[in-house]
Amino acid sequence: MQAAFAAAMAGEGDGAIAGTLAGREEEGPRARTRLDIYRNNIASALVRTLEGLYPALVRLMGRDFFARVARDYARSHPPAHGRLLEYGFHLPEFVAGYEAASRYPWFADVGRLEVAWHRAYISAEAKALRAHDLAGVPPARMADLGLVLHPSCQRLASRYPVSRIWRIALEDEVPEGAIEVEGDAEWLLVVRPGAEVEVRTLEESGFAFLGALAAGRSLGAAYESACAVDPDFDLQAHLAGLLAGETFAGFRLDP
Amino acid sequence: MNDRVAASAPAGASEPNRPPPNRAGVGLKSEHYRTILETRPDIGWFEVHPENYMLEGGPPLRYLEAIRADYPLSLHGVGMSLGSCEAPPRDHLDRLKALVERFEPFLVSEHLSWSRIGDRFLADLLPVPLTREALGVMADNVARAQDHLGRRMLIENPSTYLRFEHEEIPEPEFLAELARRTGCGLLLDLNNLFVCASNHGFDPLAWLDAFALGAVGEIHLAGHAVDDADGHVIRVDDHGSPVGEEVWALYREVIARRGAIPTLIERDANLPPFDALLEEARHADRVAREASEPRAEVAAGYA
Repeated sequence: MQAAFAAAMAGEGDGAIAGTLAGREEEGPRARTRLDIYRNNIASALVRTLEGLYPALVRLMGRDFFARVARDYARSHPPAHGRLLEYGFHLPEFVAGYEAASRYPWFADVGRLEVAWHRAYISAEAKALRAHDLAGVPPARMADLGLVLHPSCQRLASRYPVSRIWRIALEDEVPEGAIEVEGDAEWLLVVRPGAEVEVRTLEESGFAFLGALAAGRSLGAAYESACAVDPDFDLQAHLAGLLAGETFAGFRLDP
Repeated sequence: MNDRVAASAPAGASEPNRPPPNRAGVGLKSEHYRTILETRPDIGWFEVHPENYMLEGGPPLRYLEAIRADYPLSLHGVGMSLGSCEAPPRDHLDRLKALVERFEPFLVSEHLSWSRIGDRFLADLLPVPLTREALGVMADNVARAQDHLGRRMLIENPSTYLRFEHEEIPEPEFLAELARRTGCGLLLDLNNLFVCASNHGFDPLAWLDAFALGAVGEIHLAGHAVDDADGHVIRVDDHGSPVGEEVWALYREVIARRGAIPTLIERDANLPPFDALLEEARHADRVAREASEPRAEVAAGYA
């Protein structure tokens, strides 16, 4: 029975479940109409969930178009469990391949930023590492130091000014003049050291530096990654800025 | 008189673990977190869907902790799928148990419904055919969940929009038997009862006559939508409007029969400002007081 009901919900035909329903059709709504109520309830619950996760995309696409995209996504990507706060993280990839949105290639990255924001929002709590926590590290060993990113840290690189578009979408703020979407790439760090999620813009070299640390590489190796992007990379200033911004949760120093 | 004083006293601020007064609460929505913390409204308790707090960390858990410090809390699940042929997933039960241990809710509830088949979750409360076989499956799943949590749960009567041909047990008897077999309590949703009575053409009072009112640990009140289906009226449980007059009438009836019970105002769609929900909860408290008054006077007469 449940397999037949699920098939009907997935739009694979009502025949099998309709035959098990009570009531003569002339005395009440048709089986299909009754099943439609459940189909609508399921679709609306998932669309509402996705609207909650992607408020900027809702604004950029318009509510009706977003709902259309969300319904199509829900049909091809049904949830695997009932924790809907973890549902819909792959919508940006779906949007990237969505024919009717192909004129707006930055939609997918705005969606990725919203996923990063949401992941940071619901991530584990951790006490941030402070500069003075590193006071005991011998200067000669600094290059071997490993830094553990705060569990809320998310990184996102985009060829579009994605955080500007995102802010404008959410803040009802009309930009002065048009936004030039080409040739204005962004490297972003999303982090929630306390109660508030912060979206920070990094330089490309700083992004590479953080990426190397996130991959578990040492401070020395991360510095080299950054210098490959920008030979004038200022290690002291970047490290101090990241520490002050509560980006790390701990450190490793292998003997 | 003493009852009235007790009912209007501030919420058990210093004793959130004390059994809650038999008064009304509301569903806690994220849109209302700040208002509640800033205004500390005089309300009996709050209820949340535990699935919305099965998180590693973050503001939702911080807010819930702050609100729980001042108010009793109920966990009302929508994701356990107790009516599924399969047992509730271990990881879901573990996550729920962690929330129960952390927030010490005074009630934990779920539904007579299913939502899961294999690794697919159907995001609605789907109808269970009321057969002896389904009762057996449901009873096993409720027993498993209660064993895992180490506490009693309440099971709620759902809104349904269809029925199955070969059903063998009327819904109130099904729930009574479920409670008898598993020791679970019942959550009586009067909006769902009204919606089902209208959709399936039965008398809600007769349904109540057959229902195990003694096992009820909580009442839900909500609004629903009235839609057209092939020229017939169909009522859809959407929690999108204030509680309707017919549902208030059923509430009066149940309180007159059973006395006051913790009662929840549920609202999930077209969310109004918190004050509107607070006013509905106060209305529920007034209705409950008036409906249980004759009984109180009789009792006083013999004192």
